[in-house]
Amino acid sequence: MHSVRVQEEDFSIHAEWKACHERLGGKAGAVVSFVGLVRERSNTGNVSRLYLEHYPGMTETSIEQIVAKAQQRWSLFDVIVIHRVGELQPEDQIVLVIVASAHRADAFAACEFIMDFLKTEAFFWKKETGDEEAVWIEPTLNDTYRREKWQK
Amino acid sequence: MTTQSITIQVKFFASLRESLGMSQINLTVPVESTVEMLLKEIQDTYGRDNPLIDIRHVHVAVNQQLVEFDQMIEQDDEIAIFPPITGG
Repeated sequence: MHSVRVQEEDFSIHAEWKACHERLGGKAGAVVSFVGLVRERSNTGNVSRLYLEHYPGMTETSIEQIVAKAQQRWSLFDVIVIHRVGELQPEDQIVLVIVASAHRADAFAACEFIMDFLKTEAFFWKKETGDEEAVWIEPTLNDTYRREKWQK
Repeated sequence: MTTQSITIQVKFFASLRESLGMSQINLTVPVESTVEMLLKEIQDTYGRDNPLIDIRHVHVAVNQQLVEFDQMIEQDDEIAIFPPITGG
């Protein structure tokens, strides 16, 4: 079971968790959730706005492929990924990942794996507006390193 | 004898879309063109007076699948050209 959504609207972690919990019945022993937020400061300075662009169709497919990789690697009962696009501001929620499994080790690992791959293999582009100008964000070496550690 | 040509749709994303000032364009290219030939055509046409347009470091998808630059382009293909991704 899994669900992938790319949307402009905000999401409710409570509503998603509740729906996931109800679908699971008594099967799961662990549900791990992660929410990514827009920070008011980035590596380059203050952030007043963040714009997220995507490629409709290809972006959803790329997330589906990441979820499939996680499902092959760990035994997961449910995976939910919601990624927002469009104009966001500091404090806004960007991304939600919920993973349910029998035991916590699988759920923790799969949640981190999905986030690390979302950073490097999902088709999104971020543009930060700071005090003076707007810049498109470049991928970081840390993002690449975090993805590659899963391939060792 | 006329050279045969094909029509394709090319989409641009993020910084490349902004530099070019357009999100998509329909182009006519000779049959048996490769992605590399298309990139060169775009660079020559739009990049000559605009140093921001640098297609050396882009990624290319054909019909929403990432491809190498030696990929052959076919009639009605949807080509997407974009800078490295930064999600999550």
